[in-house]
Amino acid sequence: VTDLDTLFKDLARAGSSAATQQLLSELPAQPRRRSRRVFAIVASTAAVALVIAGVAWLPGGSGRSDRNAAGNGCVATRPTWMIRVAAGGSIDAAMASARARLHAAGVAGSCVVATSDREAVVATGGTPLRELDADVLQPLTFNRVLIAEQPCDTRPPLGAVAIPGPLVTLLGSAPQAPGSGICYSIERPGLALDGHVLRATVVTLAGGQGIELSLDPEATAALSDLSATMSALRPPQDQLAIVRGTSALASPHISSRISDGKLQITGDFTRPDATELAKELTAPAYPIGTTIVAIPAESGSPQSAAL
Amino acid sequence: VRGDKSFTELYDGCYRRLVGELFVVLGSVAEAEDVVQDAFAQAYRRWGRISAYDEPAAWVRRVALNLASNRRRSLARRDVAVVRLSGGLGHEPELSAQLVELTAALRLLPLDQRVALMLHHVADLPVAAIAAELGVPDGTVKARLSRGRAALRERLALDTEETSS
Repeated sequence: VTDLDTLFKDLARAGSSAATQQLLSELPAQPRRRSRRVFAIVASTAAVALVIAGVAWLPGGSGRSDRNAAGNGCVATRPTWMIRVAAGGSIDAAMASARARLHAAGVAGSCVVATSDREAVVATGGTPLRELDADVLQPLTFNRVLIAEQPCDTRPPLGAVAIPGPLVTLLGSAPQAPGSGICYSIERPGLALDGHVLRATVVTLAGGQGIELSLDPEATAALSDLSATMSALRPPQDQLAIVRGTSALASPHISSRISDGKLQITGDFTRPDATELAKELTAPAYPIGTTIVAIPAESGSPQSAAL
Repeated sequence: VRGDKSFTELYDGCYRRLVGELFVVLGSVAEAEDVVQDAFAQAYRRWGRISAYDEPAAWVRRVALNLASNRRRSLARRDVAVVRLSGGLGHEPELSAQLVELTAALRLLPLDQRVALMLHHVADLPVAAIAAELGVPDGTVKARLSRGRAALRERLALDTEETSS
């Protein structure tokens, strides 16, 4: 008969052996010797450049701590996003939020590295930026659709969306064929979902995959007012876009007032898409005033979008 | 007595063990790694002071346990634990049927009982040391251990003779 003591020790051993130990001293998929070098550089308080896997980036960072994000091995080779928090914001909270989004999107081999108390860098590995959705770290909002335009196949440049304004044009779900895309002009600011979604579950509905959302009281009240107004309007102004960065991920029609904060969203989702979205919707919120800056693959000046 | 270990030595020597311990408490390697890494990052920032402690590893464990309980609280408040936990990238260990039962049973216990059980059965600390570590009276630790064991005994088909100490 196995006793409790043995069982507990076995359990801890199983956990230990699954640890990837990828923080300071070891980057899996890198030779041990090189990992040591990385640590030495991170550890140097005098370091003006942070170096991961031999690629120097972000001059000016002081390299105070290094935390891996995605859990399956940090094989990052290039910086992809910069995260900045406003004065008084917690960089740890922003990093936790970014990590959750990377997990949700299944971005493997990425690292989130704090370079100061206000800034962190996300480096990605295997997947080149162009194949990643540059908006993956952006928080989600609900925005009223004012105009829908079809066909419209061109994603507006990131910079255009970053300009604060009441009206902005976004591309809907990725067009399957030329001429099939839709662009939405949406009203801003929208209703922030970041931190307000209590639950998001993937469900199979008559129209395909969907997501069942349950909102916190604050978002429930806001959506109740918004939906009352919108349900009286004609398409496309009865549509509520779920917006992330430069894309409308879905744009459900609102047919009646939603007063209990519970709603189902169907869209043109595949099951993995719906699962990803559900996880993103429930990622921990970024601290207020956090900025995510995408660093273009062919490095020009970073383009940013303030939250 | 100034510890003569470097930060790297501490990290290399203790990281896996601590992840194992936090895994027992949290039930997820990804989560355990997150809190242990954060705890090491905090230790690194204060290394000048912490390196002088007799047991820097104990400090890291205490911080990791605090982070774990803060995280649990905030997740419970927002009720998103289940969704987030399913978002791991699949490096959770494969467990025997008996260990799966144990993790399932542990999940149902309050965090403070899990922590006490872990410190006692995994870290092999006596009741007095656990009490000192957690800053609670001995009696509280004993109560947590016995309630935790009783609940596990009920859920697991185990011979779990009390090994009081």
